[in-house]
Amino acid sequence: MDSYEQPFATSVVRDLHDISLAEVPESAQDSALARMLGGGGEPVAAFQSSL
Amino acid sequence: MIAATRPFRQFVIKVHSRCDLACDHCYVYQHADKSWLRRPVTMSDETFRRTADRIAEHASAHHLTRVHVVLHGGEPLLAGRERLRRFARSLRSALRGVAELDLRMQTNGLRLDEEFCAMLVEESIVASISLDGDERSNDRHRIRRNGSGSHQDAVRAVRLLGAPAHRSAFGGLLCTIDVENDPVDVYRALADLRPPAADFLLPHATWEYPPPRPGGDTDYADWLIAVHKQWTADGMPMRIRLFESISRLTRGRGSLTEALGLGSSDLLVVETDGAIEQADWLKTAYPGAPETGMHIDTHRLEEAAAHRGIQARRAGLDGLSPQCRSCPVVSVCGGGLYGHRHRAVNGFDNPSVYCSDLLKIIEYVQAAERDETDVRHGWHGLTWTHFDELAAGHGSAAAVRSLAAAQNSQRRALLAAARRADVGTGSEAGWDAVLDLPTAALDVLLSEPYLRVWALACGQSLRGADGHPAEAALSAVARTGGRLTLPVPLREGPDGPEIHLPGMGRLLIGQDSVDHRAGTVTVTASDAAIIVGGRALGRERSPRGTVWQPLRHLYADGLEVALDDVDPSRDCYEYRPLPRLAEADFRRWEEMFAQAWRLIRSECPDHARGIAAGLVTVTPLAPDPSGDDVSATSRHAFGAVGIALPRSAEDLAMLIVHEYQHVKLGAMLDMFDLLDGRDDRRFRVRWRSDPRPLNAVVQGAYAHLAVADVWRTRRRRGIADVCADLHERARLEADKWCMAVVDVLDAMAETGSLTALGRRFVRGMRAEVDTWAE
Repeated sequence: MDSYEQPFATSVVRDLHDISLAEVPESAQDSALARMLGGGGEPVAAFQSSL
Repeated sequence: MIAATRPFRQFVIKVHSRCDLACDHCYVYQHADKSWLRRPVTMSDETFRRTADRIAEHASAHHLTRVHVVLHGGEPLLAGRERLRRFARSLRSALRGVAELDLRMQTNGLRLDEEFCAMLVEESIVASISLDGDERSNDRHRIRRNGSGSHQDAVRAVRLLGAPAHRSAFGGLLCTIDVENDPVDVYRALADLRPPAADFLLPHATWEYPPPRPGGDTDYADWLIAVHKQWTADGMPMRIRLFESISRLTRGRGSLTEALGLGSSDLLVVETDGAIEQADWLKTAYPGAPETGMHIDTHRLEEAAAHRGIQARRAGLDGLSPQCRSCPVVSVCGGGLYGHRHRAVNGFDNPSVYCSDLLKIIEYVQAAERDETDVRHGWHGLTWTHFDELAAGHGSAAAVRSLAAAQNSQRRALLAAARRADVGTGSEAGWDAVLDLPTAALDVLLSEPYLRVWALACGQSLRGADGHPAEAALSAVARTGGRLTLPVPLREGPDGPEIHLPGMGRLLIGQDSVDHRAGTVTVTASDAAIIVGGRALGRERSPRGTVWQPLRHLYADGLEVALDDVDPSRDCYEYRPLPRLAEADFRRWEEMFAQAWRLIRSECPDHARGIAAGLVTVTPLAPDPSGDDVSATSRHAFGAVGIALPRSAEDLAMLIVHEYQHVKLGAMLDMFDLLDGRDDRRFRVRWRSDPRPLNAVVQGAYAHLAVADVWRTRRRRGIADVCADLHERARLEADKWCMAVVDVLDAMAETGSLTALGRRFVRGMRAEVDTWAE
């Protein structure tokens, strides 16, 4: 997959610049923590019948 | 050959083969396969122990660092709390010293109670609950044998598992789609329960037994699009695995679900009797479809890799039907879930029975993310110009500012996580002040390089926030205007009790101070000053028994950088930071830094621009007794470098350029996956004696690309500007590092372990080296 259709290289970092600290979604917090901590290894294409 | 030797990383263990619900869409009991009737109801302790040993044996043979195990059923809670506890301990015992364990469970939740939840927390089992939405939607299928609905009990279980005491064991919600249900009602019912994650599953179907489509060919895509619209309008409050996987695959990353993507299957199922099987949803295709004829008593797990059915699911693009191979979204769809391709006449050599839905939902998500407005306001990114500038080893001021903006968002997320985790430590007043900060003050706080170090520790509950929120709020207010007064608890620093005001300095509290006895000091931020005991620190004499040590700055030709020798979080390098510098040592830093910066600007202006835009802090490190240079970077301290003052300004210039490469690349790696993360090999590099993992090879290559560039420039400038010894050294060093970088870049390109972005990045580095030859 070497073709790029988007004008940006879109990252995995949510843009939170206009979100107050109290309103940062828990999912964004958890994603940031997971990424900072290495996510515990590479993601797996998980068994779809469990989450 | 590669596929056959690829290890399994995921193991689904059927701990109980019956269920206390009778859902009419269940693939275990309501489809073609009836093998559950001949299985033991519960997996025995002995069978589980042998299964655990087989997994550990497999992990050890393949040097796996982490394995994923799902306790599944039937309904796993029917196995009983203490049996599940024994299973978890048996698995951890078998894997101790071999691999890390990610242990999960999928349940209907009906039997969850306080004791069960406590066990899940104690044994680090992350449980997800199956729930199909609001009561009417859920109870359309998820019913008991007497026909009564399960919604109320399932929601009670979700609330119990989501309570603060158990939340660490809450994985999320799994919802099977019924297009008769209202998608927004279903989404809202799930989102209202505040799960950390959710997923929506297409109901199992094949070409013989196609899914109901009351509205047309793309009912399921239309349903999911309605969910996606509401989810994005709500600010994406939880992760949704299906949408996240489409997004990841579109960007060349790996899928989070086997239902999408071309990735090779790495999953095995062990039934309650110890039979080794393929993914159990194959039961929807025909009776016995998942069977391998193997058993944990008689077969190593490696042997299952050779099974024809497993091989077929590992064939990637080559294993797909001609229609799939020519499809524009095949790299994202991957043919959909394998079982959904089945047709009696030709097996699995078909597109998914959901082909039209998959095409539509994938194109919708891609279009939504491609929209420039959404990209700009939803996710950080880099323009391709900035990406390529950074890949070439440099990066303009604008490129570095884009990196800094993403770091700012990550610090914001981590600060919020730290606040959430910091319960009952007495920091409430400080956190309240942080929450009340005006935008400009919060931005100042978030610009501190070492903020992430302490926020990360606090967010993991490795430490309490203590006085840090109060200190941070006071410092931010003092630097941006306004007034704030807070009691700040003293922290025990290397030189005794202190408070630390990030970006401003620290106040040492002597033994004879009134505040020392009280354990707190009342601090006021007002009129750009910090006031303690009625004295403005740094402007007036400090209160009796205290010493104010302001953060000092290095100035050089318009560049201002903090020389931080006071921040408690600066101890984040693999080398020891120096304690507060004496004034004479600070002067040496001032002098050499000014010379070094002039060299950087003249020798490598392409690097200077990025450094000027993003270098905020230098932390002095302890020198090595051998006299070797010491310098370091922390991935968690964007904008900061740690350096022991070297012998010369030339050396300092080199160390700054070198370390700043790591700063930039660390920020890139926070934003993008350049490696696929599956390559466990070690590689020889010329700058280290020990073989290095691939992520360290990339870091080393990027840093030494700049090192080679600086030496190349010094050689080119000739002896007119540098002494003869240095010129000769420049020639040798330039050749050495240039060859080292070329070797590594070429080797990296051959690994097959770079993502699409990684290949572009490495090509950019290689192209830069090629320009040197010209």
